[in-house]
Amino acid sequence: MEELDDEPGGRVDNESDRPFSCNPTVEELYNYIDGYLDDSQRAEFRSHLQRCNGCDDVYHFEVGLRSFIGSRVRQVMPPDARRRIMDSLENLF
Amino acid sequence: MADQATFVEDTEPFMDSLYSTALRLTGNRADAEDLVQETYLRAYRSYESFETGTNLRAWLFRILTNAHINRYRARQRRPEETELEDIEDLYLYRRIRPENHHGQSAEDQLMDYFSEAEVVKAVEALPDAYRMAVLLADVEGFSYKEIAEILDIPVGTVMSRLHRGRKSLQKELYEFAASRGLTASPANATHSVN
Repeated sequence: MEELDDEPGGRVDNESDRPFSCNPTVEELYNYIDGYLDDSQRAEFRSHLQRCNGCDDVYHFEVGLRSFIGSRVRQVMPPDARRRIMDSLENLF
Repeated sequence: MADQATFVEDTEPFMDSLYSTALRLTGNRADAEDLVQETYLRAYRSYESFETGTNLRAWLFRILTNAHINRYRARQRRPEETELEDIEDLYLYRRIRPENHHGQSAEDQLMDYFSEAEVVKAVEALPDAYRMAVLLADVEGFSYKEIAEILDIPVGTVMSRLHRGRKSLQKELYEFAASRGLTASPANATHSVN
């Protein structure tokens, strides 16, 4: 693969990263959704969502968006193509 | 060591998700079918080197993405930094959600705004490297570490591509909505936003 100029690692944390004026950053939000917070961070994040309607709405929007995109993008293999691949493999036996 | 005799049985359950990814990488059905076929043939030939008990699905996706990268290397363009930079976080949320949801759930609101064809176009508009990261993470549910192994890049690079790819995808989607004045997609005329 061609080398890309992206910097490994995290990002600079600044005010514009915050969904609203409260504590969690967008990075924390994605880490929460992706399952990368440790137990205590996760508990803290969850309790913030319970208290903050703004962040809770952002959270549900981002989760909903991901599921919406996934459901539009997924396709099943057409049966004739599946059969063709299976046949070509069986010819190798 | 895996046994070639059980190859078909072991790998067939993953064919739909490999095809789905291939379709979004190549953009058309014929190339996607070829890519999946090539993936299965390559996987079959090297199946004896696959270590049983390790992640078969990730192994197959690694073969698929490598085959794709090799096929399209000539066409691969370097993502232009300016294309993907300066997109603010929560791009779509900030623009369509707060004032316009009429009490709808996010998914119902998104369903009104965007047709399936628009979602597919937005995904296919992402530069390859970003598209692979987003498809593997957000559609196929692989972890950062698995994606790092599939694409043979550091975890930090996976995170950075995902972060930029997700924002860029949101911007592409937003542009469809903006182009019709933030109203529902005509394809979804039966679900009114009002």
